[in-house]
Formats: sequence, structure tokens, C-alpha cells
Amino acid sequence: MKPIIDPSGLAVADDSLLCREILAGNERAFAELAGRYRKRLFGLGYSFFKNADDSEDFIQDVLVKVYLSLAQFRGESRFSTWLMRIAYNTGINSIRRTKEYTSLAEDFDIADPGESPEQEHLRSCAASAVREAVSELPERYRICVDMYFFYDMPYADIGEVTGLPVNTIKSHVFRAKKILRERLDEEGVAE
Amino acid sequence: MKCEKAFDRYLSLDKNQAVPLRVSLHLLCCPVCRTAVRTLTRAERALARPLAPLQARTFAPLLTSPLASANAQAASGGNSAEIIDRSVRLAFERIQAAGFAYPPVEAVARRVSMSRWLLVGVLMAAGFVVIPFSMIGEWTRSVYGLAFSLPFYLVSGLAVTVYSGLFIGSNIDFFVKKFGFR
Repeated sequence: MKPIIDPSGLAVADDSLLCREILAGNERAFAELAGRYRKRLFGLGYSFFKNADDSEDFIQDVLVKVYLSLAQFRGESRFSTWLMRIAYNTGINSIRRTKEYTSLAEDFDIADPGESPEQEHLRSCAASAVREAVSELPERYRICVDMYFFYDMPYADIGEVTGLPVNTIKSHVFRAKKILRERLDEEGVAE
Repeated sequence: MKCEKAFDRYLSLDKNQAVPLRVSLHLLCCPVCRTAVRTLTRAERALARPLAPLQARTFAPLLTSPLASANAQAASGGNSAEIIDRSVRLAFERIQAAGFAYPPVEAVARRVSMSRWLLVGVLMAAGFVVIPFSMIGEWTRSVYGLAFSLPFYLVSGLAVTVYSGLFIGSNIDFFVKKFGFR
């Protein structure tokens, strides 16, 4: 079996290679791919369900769907976008979720274990600006701002996942960025 | 360009979108905006870092990825399908319980890299061009005349056509994505 990691032990296989390996019956490739996006799925699940147990179940549901539909993935979009679309639809259609989508900025500690106190301050300042921007948005648009800032997704990908108009997404993200800039100015965060 | 206008233009950019020349020029001349852009970029990176896909972060060392752990377990005699992450393991159990799993393929055909395809193609084409002007080519042409040239060019053309077809066919994914064919 072709190794998915190179001899130096670095995870180098790209998503499309892993997808091909999964379709060829390689279970380890599935573990690798799932491991890469686990935190993202947990974050999205937490926004929908607001508790860790349901978020873990959500991860399982999404992974099962991804595995079962992988043969239909044509590679027309990035794998991460396709995965997020499945996750988003799973979350939206779940009967167990509470009513509102909660932004990651509002109710989830997304601290990165390796970050310095300065980075932590910058992140918490930025998160509070995003929180402020998100609080003024209707539920269905909150996820756009989250996807841009927390999931690092471009406008077109957000539009593809959520089905919302790209121009609307742009204007919400633009406003969030303005608030972020103002907040960073107020806090005196600079190089 | 005024600061506010330049900054608004900057804020309207998408992820990884090139900064327009006028905005770049403004940033070069305006240290306040330049610092603000730098801080904003750092803040955006700080927000995205925790949820970034693992491979894009640091090229995780050997035993931090589930696959690497599974490989290590396999190497030490453990079950090769053993997966450390609970959610992933449970998801896989559900898939197997439903009786659905992609059958293992023993030997997955190795793809020839694009550079090898191109190198061989160029060498082949160069060969067809050079052969008629080489010593052997000159001699054969002088002895057989058109009886050599015509079949030679027909065979060359056929070989190039077949090779190009194989090249495009085996890299169809690349061409579909590159040129947006549907």
C-alpha cells in the first residue's frame, strides 16, 4: 500500500490524494482526512448544538455522510468546501439543534494551545470585534462572518456552502472588518 | 488616494486577493495605514489559526496525525484500521455496521507525473524532427526517397496523436479543472 506519509514522518498527502486512497479502500486515509478537519467540524457543530456531546455526534454524522458520498465528489470545488457544505446542511437540517446558530466568537473558546500572550490578546480582541459584528446580523448570515474569519473561507466558497448571495456575504464581512479595525485601533493593538 | 478610501478598498478584498496597485501605492506612502493593515492581517490569522486544517498548519510531526498513529500501531503489530480519534472510530464503525465500505484495491495504478509526460513528449517530437536530418535519415531519404519520407511522417503524426490522446486522457482531471470544461 502506498504510504500517505513520507519517510520523514510529515503528513504531505493532499486532500484529493487522500480521497482517491479512501475510494481504493484505504481506511487510514479516511482517518487522516477526518483528523485534518475534525476541529473545524467540532467548531461548526458547537455553533449549532452548543454542547460538546452533540457536537461529537455531529462530527460522526458528517463523517458518515462524507464517506458515503465521496464517490460523487467530482473535485469541481475544493474538498474543504465540499465538506463544509455537507456539514452545514447536516447542521441546518438536524432536528436536535436548538433554534439559533451561535457564532464561534460568542460561545466557544477557540484558543490555540501554542499561542503567546500577545497573540492571545490579539485573538480575543479580534474575537470580540467579530462578536459585535455578528450580534447585529440575522441568524442565517452569522455563519458567513464565522466562515470568513474562523474557517478562513473566501466569499465564493461561503456562497457555495450556504447558498447565500456573494454580494450580501461581502457586505456583512466588510462591516465586520470595519468593526475589527476600529476595535484594534481602540485597543491600541499594533506591531 | 485618501486613507479612508484606500482602507475601504483594502477591506473589500477577498481572501488571498491581490491588492490593487493604487492601494499598494497608498500603503507604501502611508505608515499609519500600513501598520493598520499589518495588525488587521495578524488579527485575521490569529482568528483562523485554531481551526485550520492540520496539514496547512505545521506539517504535523509523525505521531500527531491519526494516520501516523495508525501506521505506528500497524508497525507494532496492532490493527491497521485502528483509529485513535473516538469520533472518527465511531463514524467508521457506523459505516461498517451499515455494510458499506469501499473495497480495498490491492494495486492502485501509479500515475505518471505531468513533467514525465511532457519530457517524453518533447523528446519524442524532437526525435521525429531530428531523425530525417541525421546521417541515417539522410541516407535513407537518398536511397528510398518519398517511399521513406511519406510513411515516416505518417507514422510520426500517428504516434504524436496517440501520445497526446493518452496524455490528455490520463490527466483529464487536470485539463477539466484548468480550462473549466464541464
